[in-house]
Amino acid sequence: MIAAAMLFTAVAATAQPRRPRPIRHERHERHEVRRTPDYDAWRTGPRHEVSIKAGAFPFTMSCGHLGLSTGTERLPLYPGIFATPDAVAAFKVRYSPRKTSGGITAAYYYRVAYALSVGVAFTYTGLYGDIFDARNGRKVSSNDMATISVAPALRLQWLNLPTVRCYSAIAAGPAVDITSIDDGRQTYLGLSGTIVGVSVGRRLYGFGEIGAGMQGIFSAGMGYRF
Amino acid sequence: MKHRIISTTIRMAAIVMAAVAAVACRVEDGSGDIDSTAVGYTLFNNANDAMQEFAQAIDRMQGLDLYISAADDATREAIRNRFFYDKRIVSDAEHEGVWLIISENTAMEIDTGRKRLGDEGAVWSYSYIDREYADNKRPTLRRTAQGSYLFSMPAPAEPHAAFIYAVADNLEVHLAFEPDDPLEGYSAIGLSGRFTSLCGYGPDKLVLEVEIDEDVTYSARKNGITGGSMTLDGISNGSVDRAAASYLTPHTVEIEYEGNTATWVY
Repeated sequence: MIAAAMLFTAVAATAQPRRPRPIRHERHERHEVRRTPDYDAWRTGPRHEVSIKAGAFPFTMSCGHLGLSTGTERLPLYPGIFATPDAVAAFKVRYSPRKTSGGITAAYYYRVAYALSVGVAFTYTGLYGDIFDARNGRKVSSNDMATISVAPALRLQWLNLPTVRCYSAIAAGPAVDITSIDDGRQTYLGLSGTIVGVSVGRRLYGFGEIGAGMQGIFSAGMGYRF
Repeated sequence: MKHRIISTTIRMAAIVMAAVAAVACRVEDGSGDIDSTAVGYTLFNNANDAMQEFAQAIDRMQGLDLYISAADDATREAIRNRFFYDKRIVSDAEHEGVWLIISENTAMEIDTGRKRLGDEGAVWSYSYIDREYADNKRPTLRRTAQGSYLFSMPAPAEPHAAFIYAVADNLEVHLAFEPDDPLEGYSAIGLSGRFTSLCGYGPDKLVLEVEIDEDVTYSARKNGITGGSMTLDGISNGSVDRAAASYLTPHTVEIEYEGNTATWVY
């Protein structure tokens, strides 16, 4: 016990004197609520935004979510199939595999509030394939489809940090599927939703999204704020 | 450090975007290789559908002929159990010589003209209660000689409403019953001549001209067509597709189309 007391005394004696704390007058003078820097700066900061992204598994009315709900181009070959004009014509051609460009979306947003932006999104989705003559292998036609949509959009930025933003968005507008084989046009209301999107960067930024609809299920892209 | 994170994020986003766009996901596998005689096989199916319909109707008429001419009630009931076990046979009380073969879904009305099928000058016709034919005609089996008949099948009253039907004008029929015992024998039907089959939705139909090259034989014992061959000319969209079909067994056929030959199970 005595030894412990002596040790404490020795340590206390060798310790350096404590430096006085600097007086921070501003703390006492300005009692502000602490906010993110962006909350103060959004009105004066860049409010316009353009972006471009590519989305996997975009939705089209004719084929569903491309890559998820479409399968093999099946010919109607089963036992007992009858020869109709369409069936006979179908057996005389072969369909190549079809590929998609994914959903390419160019968007413009204008920030109208701290957490809200409005804008418009243009989406193009291409589906490309060929039809060949079964006998000589020559291409007889294209089996393409283009889907175009123009959709007004709303975006809710629910996390605003200086360089990171998290958001959700929804877009709805007219869409059309244009098929090359018969020059057919199917128009409908195209919908697109972003469940979660994350962007990183101040003016030039990259982003990734998870959603559904015309723009795809998984998307990634780049944007610029000005 | 922060700039490095931002820069890396933008680069990664660009790479992912490029990967999604440039790799171009394959979403459909295409149609692959289809048998080169598939067109001929579909043409055969149209012709075979008509053949089966013709043969089964003739077989039924022959069964009714045996039923009517049975020596006694016990034999008649035995014949009914043999040929029409799930059907009722009723004589039309108001029209002599008219019989109804009633099944669960339909009824076949056969007008015997008060003659047996083998009688000289016999003309049997039939219709189904749910089917009407053009110009009030009916499918008809007309005796021409011992064991020989001419079979005619008119077009339906509303051809656009029918998906597939056949029209035959005097198709030659050779009818036998072997052995000649109603309780042990079976129909053997030979068909020769030509007929037309039409198939398709609405007015857009494939017209198939069928020419029987070698008698098509239907065996009731084997419950199917056991032999014969025919030439098939399918006309659609302004082009003609020619195929040849040879029956091998009741459920296999050899198809020749554009120089290719294949055996199909139908």
